[in-house]
Amino acid sequence: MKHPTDKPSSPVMRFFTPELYLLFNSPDDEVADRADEDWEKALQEYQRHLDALRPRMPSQVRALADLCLHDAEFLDLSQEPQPIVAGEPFQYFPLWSAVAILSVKQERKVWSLIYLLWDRVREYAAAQDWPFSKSRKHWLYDEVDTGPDHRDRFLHRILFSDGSITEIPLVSVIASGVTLPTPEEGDPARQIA
Amino acid sequence: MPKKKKTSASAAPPQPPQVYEASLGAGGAVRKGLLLTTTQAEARRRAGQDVVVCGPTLSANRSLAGAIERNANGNARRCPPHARAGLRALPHYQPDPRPPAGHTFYETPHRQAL
Repeated sequence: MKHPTDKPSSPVMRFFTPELYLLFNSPDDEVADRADEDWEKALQEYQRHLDALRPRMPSQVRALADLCLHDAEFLDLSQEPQPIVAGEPFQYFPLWSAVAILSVKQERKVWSLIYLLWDRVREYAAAQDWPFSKSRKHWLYDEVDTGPDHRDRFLHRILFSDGSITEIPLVSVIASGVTLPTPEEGDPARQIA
Repeated sequence: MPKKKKTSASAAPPQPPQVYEASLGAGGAVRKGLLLTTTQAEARRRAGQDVVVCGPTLSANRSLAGAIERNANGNARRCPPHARAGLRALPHYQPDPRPPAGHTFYETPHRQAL
């Protein structure tokens, strides 16, 4: 399923914003020093935010909040709506659920994050003047937040290296990692050689 | 004759940054190893291994770290520490885009290598 690209009307990331990331990368020492301080504050604020949120999180969402995927290479994001109740006749309010699967590769491990969604995944394009490479997109920073007015609904926002942001509205999530074999283990030709 | 003003210790120029081999420890800590020349550091970075720039001045550390990464791997970006990396994680330069793997870490007033 292709994901529409939204234009944010307000900042999508709350803590680790692309704007702060760009200031951190400023060639001006004063600006970069200030951004270094501001990033430290953002880390502390996010930690306080998570501490307050943690008691309300199901264990799977807590595990997501503790997972560190910085620098993991983006592989794929798929999203498929599924009917919960198969097409009953005269059904006025069909029930749907949706699952999104985000796959990334961190060193020799491929992670699949399987989200049970409460709304569609939103993808926001980078600012046009984003100065960094858009090839080999990888995970930079992420944050877990609550959905608006919903105690049991959460948002997972991810800032990627190409400046794009993905916002995933989730009820629950399963993170599954598979370690790839080393080239010697996985390539019979090499083993023979 | 007025006495000459003594130069106080605080007016001494700050120590220039130095670069070391680096390895990752528990809780995101960066452990420094052998002292390197910048040429050795660049060779290590080209091979995808970590180095760390240490010193008392943030801007000097950042500047040297950036020069090492750019000389070794061309375009580079700075990445601040991430939330789950721990209190001892250091900001770093990395190639933009990757590969090679690895980082040129640098110390800040808040975060130092072990």
